[in-house]
Amino acid sequence: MKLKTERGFSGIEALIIVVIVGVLGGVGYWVYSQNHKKTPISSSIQTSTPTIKLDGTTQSVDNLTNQDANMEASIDGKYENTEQSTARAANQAAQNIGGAYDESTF
Amino acid sequence: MNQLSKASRRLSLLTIGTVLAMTAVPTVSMAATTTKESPFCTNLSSVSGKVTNNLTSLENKLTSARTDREQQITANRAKWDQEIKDNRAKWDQQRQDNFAKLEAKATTDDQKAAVKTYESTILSAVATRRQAYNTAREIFRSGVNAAIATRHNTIDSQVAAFNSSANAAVAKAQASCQATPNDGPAIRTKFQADLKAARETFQNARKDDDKVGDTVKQLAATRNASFKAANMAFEATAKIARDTLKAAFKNTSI
Repeated sequence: MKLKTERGFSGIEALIIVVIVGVLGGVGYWVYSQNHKKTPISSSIQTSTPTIKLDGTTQSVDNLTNQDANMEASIDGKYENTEQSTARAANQAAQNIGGAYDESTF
Repeated sequence: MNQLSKASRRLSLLTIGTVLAMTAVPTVSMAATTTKESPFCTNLSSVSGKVTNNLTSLENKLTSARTDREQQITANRAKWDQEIKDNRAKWDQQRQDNFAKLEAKATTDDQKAAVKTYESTILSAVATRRQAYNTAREIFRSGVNAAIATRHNTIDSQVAAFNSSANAAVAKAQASCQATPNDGPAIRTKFQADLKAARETFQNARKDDDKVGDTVKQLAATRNASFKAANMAFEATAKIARDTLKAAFKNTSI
Protein backbone atom coordinates (compact mmCIF):
# COMPACT_ATOMS: atom_id res chain seq x y z
CA MET A 1 0.00 0.00 0.00
CA LYS A 2 1.48 3.32 -1.11
CA LEU A 3 1.78 5.86 1.64
CA LYS A 4 0.26 9.29 0.98
CA THR A 5 3.14 11.93 0.53
CA GLU A 6 2.60 15.22 2.31
CA ARG A 7 3.50 18.27 0.17
CA GLY A 8 4.43 21.82 1.26
CA PHE A 9 6.28 23.14 4.32
CA SER A 10 5.52 22.35 7.89
CA GLY A 11 4.57 25.17 10.23
CA ILE A 12 8.01 25.35 11.81
CA GLU A 13 9.78 25.42 8.43
CA ALA A 14 7.54 28.30 7.31
CA LEU A 15 8.31 30.18 10.49
CA ILE A 16 12.06 29.72 10.03
CA ILE A 17 11.83 31.00 6.45
CA VAL A 18 9.92 34.08 7.58
CA VAL A 19 12.54 34.80 10.26
CA ILE A 20 15.44 34.45 7.79
CA VAL A 21 13.75 36.71 5.25
CA GLY A 22 13.02 39.24 7.97
CA VAL A 23 16.66 39.27 9.15
CA LEU A 24 17.99 39.62 5.62
CA GLY A 25 15.54 42.45 4.94
CA GLY A 26 16.53 44.23 8.14
CA VAL A 27 20.23 44.00 7.35
CA GLY A 28 19.62 45.24 3.84
CA TYR A 29 17.63 48.21 5.12
CA TRP A 30 20.35 49.07 7.63
CA VAL A 31 23.06 49.00 4.95
CA TYR A 32 20.90 51.21 2.71
CA SER A 33 20.22 53.71 5.51
CA GLN A 34 23.93 53.92 6.41
CA ASN A 35 24.86 54.74 2.85
CA HIS A 36 22.17 57.40 2.55
CA LYS A 37 22.36 58.87 6.03
CA LYS A 38 22.58 62.71 6.35
CA THR A 39 24.38 64.03 9.34
CA PRO A 40 22.04 66.66 10.77
CA ILE A 41 23.39 70.08 11.65
CA SER A 42 22.91 70.85 15.30
CA SER A 43 24.50 73.09 17.82
CA SER A 44 24.72 70.26 20.33
CA ILE A 45 28.08 69.47 21.78
CA GLN A 46 29.87 66.52 20.23
CA THR A 47 32.91 64.98 21.78
CA SER A 48 34.28 63.00 18.88
CA THR A 49 34.85 63.66 15.21
CA PRO A 50 33.30 60.95 13.05
CA THR A 51 35.17 59.86 9.96
CA ILE A 52 33.72 61.43 6.83
CA LYS A 53 34.21 59.49 3.64
CA LEU A 54 35.91 61.70 1.05
CA ASP A 55 34.41 60.03 -1.98
CA GLY A 56 33.73 63.06 -4.19
CA THR A 57 30.00 63.10 -3.58
CA THR A 58 27.69 65.92 -2.56
CA GLN A 59 26.76 63.74 0.42
CA SER A 60 30.28 63.81 1.78
CA VAL A 61 30.50 67.58 1.15
CA ASP A 62 27.30 68.00 3.15
CA ASN A 63 28.63 65.77 5.92
CA LEU A 64 31.93 67.65 6.05
CA THR A 65 30.25 71.02 6.26
CA ASN A 66 27.76 69.84 8.85
CA GLN A 67 30.53 68.37 10.95
CA ASP A 68 32.49 71.63 10.57
CA ALA A 69 29.48 73.50 11.98
CA ASN A 70 28.98 70.97 14.80
CA MET A 71 32.62 71.14 15.87
CA GLU A 72 32.57 74.93 15.85
CA ALA A 73 29.42 74.98 17.98
CA SER A 74 31.09 72.46 20.30
CA ILE A 75 34.09 74.76 20.72
CA ASP A 76 31.73 77.65 21.50
CA GLY A 77 29.94 75.50 24.05
CA LYS A 78 33.20 74.64 25.78
CA TYR A 79 34.29 78.26 26.01
CA GLU A 80 30.83 79.36 27.09
CA ASN A 81 31.39 77.32 30.27
CA THR A 82 34.78 78.95 30.71
CA GLU A 83 33.26 82.43 30.25
CA GLN A 84 30.63 81.64 32.84
CA SER A 85 33.08 80.49 35.48
CA THR A 86 35.50 83.33 34.73
CA ALA A 87 32.69 85.90 34.92
CA ARG A 88 32.04 84.65 38.46
CA ALA A 89 35.68 85.05 39.45
CA ALA A 90 36.22 87.89 41.95
CA ASN A 91 32.89 86.85 43.48
CA GLN A 92 34.57 85.46 46.57
CA ALA A 93 36.73 88.58 46.96
CA ALA A 94 33.56 90.72 46.94
CA GLN A 95 31.93 88.35 49.40
CA ASN A 96 34.94 88.54 51.74
CA ILE A 97 34.50 92.30 52.18
CA GLY A 98 31.50 91.45 54.34
CA GLY A 99 33.89 89.71 56.74
CA ALA A 100 36.08 92.77 57.26
CA TYR A 101 35.36 92.73 60.98
CA ASP A 102 33.61 90.83 63.72
CA GLU A 103 31.88 93.55 65.71
CA SER A 104 31.59 91.25 68.76
CA THR A 105 35.38 91.46 69.23
CA PHE A 106 35.35 95.26 69.73
CA MET B 1 49.56 132.42 131.79
CA ASN B 2 46.17 130.72 131.47
CA GLN B 3 45.01 133.34 129.05
CA LEU B 4 48.10 132.83 126.94
CA SER B 5 47.59 129.09 126.67
CA LYS B 6 43.91 129.60 125.87
CA ALA B 7 44.85 132.05 123.11
CA SER B 8 47.46 129.75 121.65
CA ARG B 9 45.02 126.87 121.73
CA ARG B 10 42.44 128.96 119.91
CA LEU B 11 45.05 129.98 117.37
CA SER B 12 46.05 126.35 116.78
CA LEU B 13 42.46 125.29 116.29
CA LEU B 14 41.89 128.17 113.90
CA THR B 15 44.98 127.29 111.89
CA ILE B 16 44.03 123.65 111.67
CA GLY B 17 40.48 124.57 110.67
CA THR B 18 41.73 126.90 107.94
CA VAL B 19 44.10 124.30 106.54
CA LEU B 20 41.36 121.71 106.53
CA ALA B 21 38.98 124.09 104.80
CA MET B 22 41.59 124.99 102.22
CA THR B 23 42.17 121.34 101.32
CA ALA B 24 38.56 120.16 101.57
CA VAL B 25 36.98 122.71 99.24
CA PRO B 26 39.18 122.04 96.19
CA THR B 27 38.92 118.30 96.75
CA VAL B 28 35.12 118.47 96.76
CA SER B 29 35.03 120.69 93.68
CA MET B 30 37.50 118.49 91.84
CA ALA B 31 35.46 115.43 92.64
CA ALA B 32 32.43 117.12 91.12
CA THR B 33 34.11 118.01 87.75
CA THR B 34 36.59 115.08 86.91
CA THR B 35 35.06 112.10 84.82
CA LYS B 36 37.16 108.98 84.15
CA GLU B 37 37.28 107.90 80.43
CA SER B 38 36.14 104.34 79.81
CA PRO B 39 38.59 101.86 78.23
CA PHE B 40 36.34 101.53 75.16
CA CYS B 41 36.55 105.25 74.45
CA THR B 42 40.27 105.20 75.07
CA ASN B 43 40.75 102.40 72.56
CA LEU B 44 38.18 103.62 70.03
CA SER B 45 40.75 105.10 67.65
CA SER B 46 42.64 101.80 67.38
CA VAL B 47 39.33 99.95 66.82
CA SER B 48 38.31 102.28 64.01
CA GLY B 49 41.79 102.02 62.53
CA LYS B 50 41.48 98.24 62.49
CA VAL B 51 38.10 98.40 60.73
CA THR B 52 39.43 100.83 58.12
CA ASN B 53 42.59 98.78 57.48
CA ASN B 54 40.65 95.55 57.06
CA LEU B 55 38.20 97.11 54.63
CA THR B 56 41.00 98.69 52.59
CA SER B 57 42.92 95.43 52.44
CA LEU B 58 39.91 93.45 51.24
CA GLU B 59 39.01 96.09 48.66
CA ASN B 60 42.53 95.86 47.29
CA LYS B 61 42.13 92.09 47.01
CA LEU B 62 38.88 92.62 45.09
CA THR B 63 40.64 94.96 42.67
CA SER B 64 43.38 92.41 42.17
CA ALA B 65 40.86 89.61 41.57
CA ARG B 66 39.10 91.74 38.97
CA THR B 67 42.36 92.39 37.14
CA ASP B 68 43.10 88.67 37.09
CA ARG B 69 39.62 87.99 35.75
CA GLU B 70 40.05 90.45 32.88
CA GLN B 71 43.36 88.86 31.92
CA GLN B 72 41.81 85.39 32.10
CA ILE B 73 38.93 86.38 29.84
CA THR B 74 41.31 87.88 27.29
CA ALA B 75 43.52 84.78 27.31
CA ASN B 76 40.53 82.42 27.03
CA ARG B 77 39.11 84.29 24.07
CA ALA B 78 42.45 84.22 22.28
CA LYS B 79 42.57 80.43 22.73
CA TRP B 80 38.94 80.18 21.63
CA ASP B 81 39.63 82.10 18.41
CA GLN B 82 42.66 79.95 17.67
CA GLU B 83 40.67 76.73 18.09
CA ILE B 84 37.97 78.05 15.78
CA LYS B 85 40.62 79.01 13.22
CA ASP B 86 42.30 75.59 13.43
CA ASN B 87 38.94 73.80 13.15
CA ARG B 88 37.98 75.76 10.07
CA ALA B 89 41.34 75.13 8.41
CA LYS B 90 41.00 71.39 9.02
CA TRP B 91 37.55 71.14 7.46
CA ASP B 92 38.53 73.43 4.60
CA GLN B 93 41.34 71.05 3.68
CA GLN B 94 39.03 68.04 3.81
CA ARG B 95 36.49 69.87 1.71
CA GLN B 96 39.12 70.70 -0.91
CA ASP B 97 40.22 67.05 -1.00
CA ASN B 98 36.64 66.02 -1.61
CA PHE B 99 36.18 68.68 -4.27
CA ALA B 100 39.24 67.28 -6.06
CA LYS B 101 37.62 63.83 -6.14
CA LEU B 102 34.39 65.37 -7.38
CA GLU B 103 36.23 67.20 -10.16
CA ALA B 104 37.85 63.92 -11.19
CA LYS B 105 34.40 62.49 -11.85
CA ALA B 106 33.54 65.28 -14.34
CA THR B 107 34.21 64.07 -17.87
CA THR B 108 32.46 66.65 -20.04
CA ASP B 109 32.92 70.43 -20.12
CA ASP B 110 29.38 70.89 -18.86
CA GLN B 111 30.04 68.61 -15.92
CA LYS B 112 33.32 70.37 -15.12
CA ALA B 113 31.61 73.76 -15.23
CA ALA B 114 28.79 72.41 -13.04
CA VAL B 115 31.32 71.13 -10.49
CA LYS B 116 33.09 74.52 -10.40
CA THR B 117 29.77 76.30 -9.91
CA TYR B 118 28.85 73.86 -7.13
CA GLU B 119 32.19 74.38 -5.38
CA SER B 120 32.02 78.18 -5.48
CA THR B 121 28.40 78.12 -4.25
CA ILE B 122 29.32 75.84 -1.35
CA LEU B 123 32.42 77.88 -0.46
CA SER B 124 30.42 81.11 -0.56
CA ALA B 125 27.68 79.56 1.61
CA VAL B 126 30.29 78.31 4.10
CA ALA B 127 31.85 81.80 4.28
CA THR B 128 28.41 83.35 4.87
CA ARG B 129 27.64 80.82 7.60
CA ARG B 130 31.00 81.44 9.27
CA GLN B 131 30.49 85.20 9.22
CA ALA B 132 27.08 84.71 10.86
CA TYR B 133 28.78 82.55 13.51
CA ASN B 134 31.43 85.24 14.05
CA THR B 135 28.76 87.91 14.52
CA ALA B 136 26.77 85.74 16.95
CA ARG B 137 29.96 85.00 18.88
CA GLU B 138 30.85 88.69 19.15
CA ILE B 139 27.36 89.55 20.38
CA PHE B 140 27.73 86.84 23.03
CA ARG B 141 31.10 88.19 24.17
CA SER B 142 29.87 91.80 24.28
CA GLY B 143 26.91 90.67 26.36
CA VAL B 144 29.22 88.93 28.83
CA ASN B 145 31.38 92.07 29.06
CA ALA B 146 28.30 94.21 29.74
CA ALA B 147 27.03 91.79 32.41
CA ILE B 148 30.40 91.84 34.17
CA ALA B 149 30.56 95.67 34.01
CA THR B 150 27.04 96.00 35.46
CA ARG B 151 27.88 93.64 38.29
CA HIS B 152 31.16 95.47 38.90
CA ASN B 153 29.27 98.78 39.33
CA THR B 154 26.66 97.19 41.59
CA ILE B 155 29.30 95.72 43.88
CA ASP B 156 31.20 99.02 43.99
CA SER B 157 28.01 100.80 45.13
CA GLN B 158 27.44 98.16 47.81
CA VAL B 159 31.03 98.44 49.06
CA ALA B 160 30.81 102.25 49.16
CA ALA B 161 27.59 102.06 51.18
CA PHE B 162 29.18 99.52 53.53
CA ASN B 163 32.24 101.73 54.00
CA SER B 164 30.07 104.77 54.63
CA SER B 165 27.94 102.96 57.24
CA ALA B 166 31.00 101.62 59.07
CA ASN B 167 32.61 105.08 59.12
CA ALA B 168 29.34 106.60 60.37
CA ALA B 169 29.24 104.06 63.22
CA VAL B 170 32.79 105.03 64.22
CA ALA B 171 32.03 108.76 64.03
CA LYS B 172 28.91 108.29 66.12
CA ALA B 173 30.86 106.36 68.77
CA GLN B 174 33.58 109.02 68.83
CA ALA B 175 30.98 111.77 69.34
CA SER B 176 29.34 109.77 72.12
CA CYS B 177 32.71 109.20 73.79
CA GLN B 178 33.41 112.94 73.72
CA ALA B 179 30.04 113.73 75.25
CA THR B 180 30.02 110.97 77.86
CA PRO B 181 33.44 109.37 78.03
CA ASN B 182 32.57 107.26 81.05
CA ASP B 183 29.58 105.69 79.33
CA GLY B 184 31.77 103.12 77.53
CA PRO B 185 29.60 100.00 77.84
CA ALA B 186 26.51 101.68 76.34
CA ILE B 187 28.52 103.34 73.58
CA ARG B 188 30.21 100.04 72.78
CA THR B 189 26.88 98.20 72.56
CA LYS B 190 25.49 100.81 70.17
CA PHE B 191 28.71 100.78 68.13
CA GLN B 192 28.58 96.99 67.76
CA ALA B 193 24.93 97.14 66.69
CA ASP B 194 25.67 99.80 64.06
CA LEU B 195 28.61 97.82 62.64
CA LYS B 196 26.52 94.64 62.58
CA ALA B 197 23.73 96.42 60.72
CA ALA B 198 26.21 97.74 58.14
CA ARG B 199 27.75 94.28 57.62
CA GLU B 200 24.39 92.51 57.33
CA THR B 201 23.06 95.07 54.87
CA PHE B 202 26.10 94.46 52.64
CA GLN B 203 25.91 90.67 52.89
CA ASN B 204 22.18 90.60 52.16
CA ALA B 205 22.66 92.83 49.13
CA ARG B 206 25.41 90.47 47.89
CA LYS B 207 23.10 87.46 48.11
CA ASP B 208 20.74 88.98 45.57
CA ASP B 209 23.08 89.83 42.79
CA ASP B 210 25.01 86.79 41.58
CA LYS B 211 23.11 86.60 38.32
CA VAL B 212 26.00 86.71 35.86
CA GLY B 213 25.78 82.93 35.32
CA ASP B 214 22.12 83.17 34.28
CA THR B 215 22.92 86.07 31.96
CA VAL B 216 25.69 84.06 30.26
CA LYS B 217 23.27 81.16 29.71
CA GLN B 218 20.71 83.47 28.11
CA LEU B 219 23.38 84.98 25.88
CA ALA B 220 24.49 81.49 24.86
CA ALA B 221 20.91 80.53 23.98
CA THR B 222 20.64 83.62 21.75
CA ARG B 223 23.97 82.76 20.14
CA ASN B 224 22.90 79.16 19.50
CA ALA B 225 19.65 80.34 17.94
CA SER B 226 21.71 82.51 15.55
CA PHE B 227 23.90 79.49 14.75
CA LYS B 228 20.81 77.45 13.95
CA ALA B 229 19.40 80.14 11.67
CA ALA B 230 22.74 80.37 9.84
CA ASN B 231 22.83 76.58 9.45
CA MET B 232 19.33 76.49 8.03
CA ALA B 233 20.21 79.20 5.51
CA PHE B 234 23.31 77.21 4.54
CA GLU B 235 21.32 73.98 4.13
CA ALA B 236 18.84 75.69 1.81
CA THR B 237 21.67 77.05 -0.40
CA ALA B 238 23.55 73.73 -0.36
CA LYS B 239 20.42 71.82 -1.40
CA ILE B 240 19.89 74.01 -4.46
CA ALA B 241 23.59 73.67 -5.41
CA ARG B 242 23.44 69.89 -4.90
CA ASP B 243 20.32 69.47 -7.03
CA THR B 244 21.80 71.63 -9.79
CA LEU B 245 24.98 69.55 -9.83
CA LYS B 246 23.09 66.25 -9.85
CA ALA B 247 21.02 67.46 -12.76
CA ALA B 248 24.22 68.17 -14.70
CA PHE B 249 25.54 64.69 -13.99
CA LYS B 250 22.19 62.94 -14.32
CA ASN B 251 23.69 60.56 -11.75
CA THR B 252 22.46 60.12 -8.19
CA SER B 253 25.83 58.88 -6.98
CA ILE B 254 27.20 62.42 -7.19
